[in-house]
Amino acid sequence: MAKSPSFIGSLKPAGPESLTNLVIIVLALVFFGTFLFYTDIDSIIVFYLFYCFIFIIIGQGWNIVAGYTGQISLGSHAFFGIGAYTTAIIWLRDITHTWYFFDPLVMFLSGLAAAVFAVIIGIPILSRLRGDYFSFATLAAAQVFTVLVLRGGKLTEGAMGLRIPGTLFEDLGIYYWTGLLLAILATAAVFFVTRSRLGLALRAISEDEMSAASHGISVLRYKLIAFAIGAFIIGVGGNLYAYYIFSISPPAVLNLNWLFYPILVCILGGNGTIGGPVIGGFVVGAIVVFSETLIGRVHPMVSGVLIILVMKFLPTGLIGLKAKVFQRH
Amino acid sequence: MANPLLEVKDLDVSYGDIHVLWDVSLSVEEGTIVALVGANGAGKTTLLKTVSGLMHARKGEITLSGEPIQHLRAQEIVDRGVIHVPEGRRLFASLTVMENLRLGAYLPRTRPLFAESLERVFSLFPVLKDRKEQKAGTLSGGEQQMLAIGRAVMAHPRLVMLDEPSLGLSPILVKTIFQLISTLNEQKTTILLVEQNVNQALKIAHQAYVLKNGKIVMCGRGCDLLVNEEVCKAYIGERARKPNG
Repeated sequence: MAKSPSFIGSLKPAGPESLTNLVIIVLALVFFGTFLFYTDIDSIIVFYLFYCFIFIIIGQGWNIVAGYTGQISLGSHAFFGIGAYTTAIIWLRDITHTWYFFDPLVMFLSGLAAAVFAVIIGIPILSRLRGDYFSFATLAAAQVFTVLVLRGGKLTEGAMGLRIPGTLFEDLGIYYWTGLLLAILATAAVFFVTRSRLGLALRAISEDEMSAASHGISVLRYKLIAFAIGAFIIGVGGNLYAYYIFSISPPAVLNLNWLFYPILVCILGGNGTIGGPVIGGFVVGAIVVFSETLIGRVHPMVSGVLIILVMKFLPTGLIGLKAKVFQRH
Repeated sequence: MANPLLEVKDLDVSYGDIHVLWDVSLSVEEGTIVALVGANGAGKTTLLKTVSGLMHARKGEITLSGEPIQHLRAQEIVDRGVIHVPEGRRLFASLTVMENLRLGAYLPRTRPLFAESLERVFSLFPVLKDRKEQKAGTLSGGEQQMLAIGRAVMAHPRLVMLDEPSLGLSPILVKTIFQLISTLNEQKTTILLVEQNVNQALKIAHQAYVLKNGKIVMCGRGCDLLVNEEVCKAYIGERARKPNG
């Protein structure tokens, strides 16, 4: 995968570039933090931004594995589905005895369930396979999970899926705020992980596994940790989406869109960078939300053409544009 | 010669059916430079890989300060202070010089010594200090070799095994690198040096072994081997010496 030409948070002394980054971050936080106070809550823009936040969350979850360990996971939809199903099952079976609607505990458990699944499939897959074969194996594991859900009997209600009480919906306010918070947290998580010792080990692994191992880095363990963190983040994204659709079924949360969206987000925005998935999230959000309302069912074609164009002309993603601008000065 | 740091006894190594090393024995005394010379394909790299646990022997014993290490995994051998600087350096090209050095000191054992080791590396290779924030892939060949050796020093090694440190360097840089290896050794680091540049290697080595077709054919003090005619034959190869070969 493309290596980062410049990503927010490399250990460089504060220069004009990191100052620009800081200004952009502060402006963005102020803008999104006050946006609802001067916007009609029922506007499509709020709906659009909610979708963007989901895309940023799952994009960051995929980014930490693909961008920083070089392993292309094709199992995101399983993690997303596990997050959504865990939310519904905990709620409907009254497991935690808490307030289930936007309940932090349920959110956490949804992410945790996805992370546990990632560890279970990750140990055999990551210890044996790498590269393309890792990708195929994650896809296969996700499809096995889909079948299990379809055959899940009373627990998952098969193809019908589970319904959580939709009467709690008032307006998009809480969706917006929670989405914004989680998108910030997911981005911050990737930022801090990649700047830590763990991040250094991950980047060494993505560069040269043998050489990393010869420095005493336990390759399997670190890959597994990254895989589990990524799954956790995507699982929380599934939880948020479950609160929005209320009907959790395989066609809604386990369809292959949830496999492609995070990849699109990262490739368009810039894989292996902190800011890339944020930019990618807004772009993919626009494609999905606006082209769906404007041109209906052809929007997958739009995103397909766009991804080809970006890979052809901007292999480092849209965030690569910024590096190009800075190189010229 | 009471207690060698590294001792290899009757080592047999093969890649599948292809037998590479036959009954190889050598010993490396604490605080010395030992050179292992020989022509291409003699088995020098294989020997280093076997010592560092990247390959495993069919037969024979490898001991570090008397403790057998031939059954340990590569990571455990690194943890015991045997650091292999592989041929072609294998740096993390898109990581900075500093990040490469931090990875050299990744093991828990070496972490408390980080600042001290870093100072040592920067005093050995001042150019690395100037290039701290530069990506390793953008360094020159000589600087990359210095970084590879520096990364090994970060691991607080007892034994550094250098595989062809002069590979691909200009003659003047070759000289510099060999001087630096001598300096490193004067700071009490034991070195096992594999080289095709026999002349330079023997000049700085206390002890040397000549490997030919997977067998040790000669050993002795570096300066003695340097003037030995047999040595020339062993590493240049006999064919080259025949008039019509």
